[in-house]
Amino acid sequence: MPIKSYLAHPHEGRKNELIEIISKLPFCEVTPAENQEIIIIVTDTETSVQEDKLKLTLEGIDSLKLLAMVSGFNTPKN
Amino acid sequence: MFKSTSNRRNFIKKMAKLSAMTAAASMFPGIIFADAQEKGIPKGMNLDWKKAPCRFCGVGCGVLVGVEKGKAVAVKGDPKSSVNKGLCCVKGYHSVMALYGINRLTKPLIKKNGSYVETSMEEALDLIASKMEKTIDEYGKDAVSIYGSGQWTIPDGYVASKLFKGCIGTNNVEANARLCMASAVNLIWHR
Repeated sequence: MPIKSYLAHPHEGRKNELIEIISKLPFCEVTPAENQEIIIIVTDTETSVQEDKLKLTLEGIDSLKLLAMVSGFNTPKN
Repeated sequence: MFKSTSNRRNFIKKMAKLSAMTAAASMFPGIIFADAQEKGIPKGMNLDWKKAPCRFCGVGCGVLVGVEKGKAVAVKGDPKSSVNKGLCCVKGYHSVMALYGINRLTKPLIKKNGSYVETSMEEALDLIASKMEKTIDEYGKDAVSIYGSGQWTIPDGYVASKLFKGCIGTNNVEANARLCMASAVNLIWHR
């Protein structure tokens, strides 16, 4: 049951577009910075397979320039 | 009995988010994540949250003041303020208490026959004006001064400077920055 956090850098002028797309994805929580072109994504998935699939989906988003993982946890408990 | 409102997984999620915020702050000093903090503002309490600067010192922190039935009842740091990014010091968090302190002066007091007596603002200002006039006549313009406050606003300071420098003709204007704040800064330097 992985939990990971990422810093997502959008392409110039496409921050809102990126926020909108990621907000609609399952297992994702989005926290945009107020005054910088950067977004925090926290993913909370059931399995590693689901996590890998989600990461591929994120990396395939057109408005995303760079996705950098900051932390990762694998906890079986609630 | 204490009952946790979170669980282990939510706690780890918050840690993950905090790690990302810390990393972002190291890359972009001054970065603000207001959205995350605004979620913590209590809802459904019939509070009208108003933006304001904190008046307790010259730093200029942004605060949100919760108003209920015309009375300020709560304070929170403004997450959108680039000065304090949602945080307050202990003075800021208690700032609205000063509005309703039982010892707060709400009317001018003039010392008459050894004790303070409530008076009108007009009489108090006339007394100050007459004393200043007498002092200036006797000792010159630089014999008077104004001591302001760390809580005065920029317009307050502007008016005080205009009155003393432009109208009366003395540079004796102290906004509290040197006598109060400078001593605090000095203390921090020498710790």
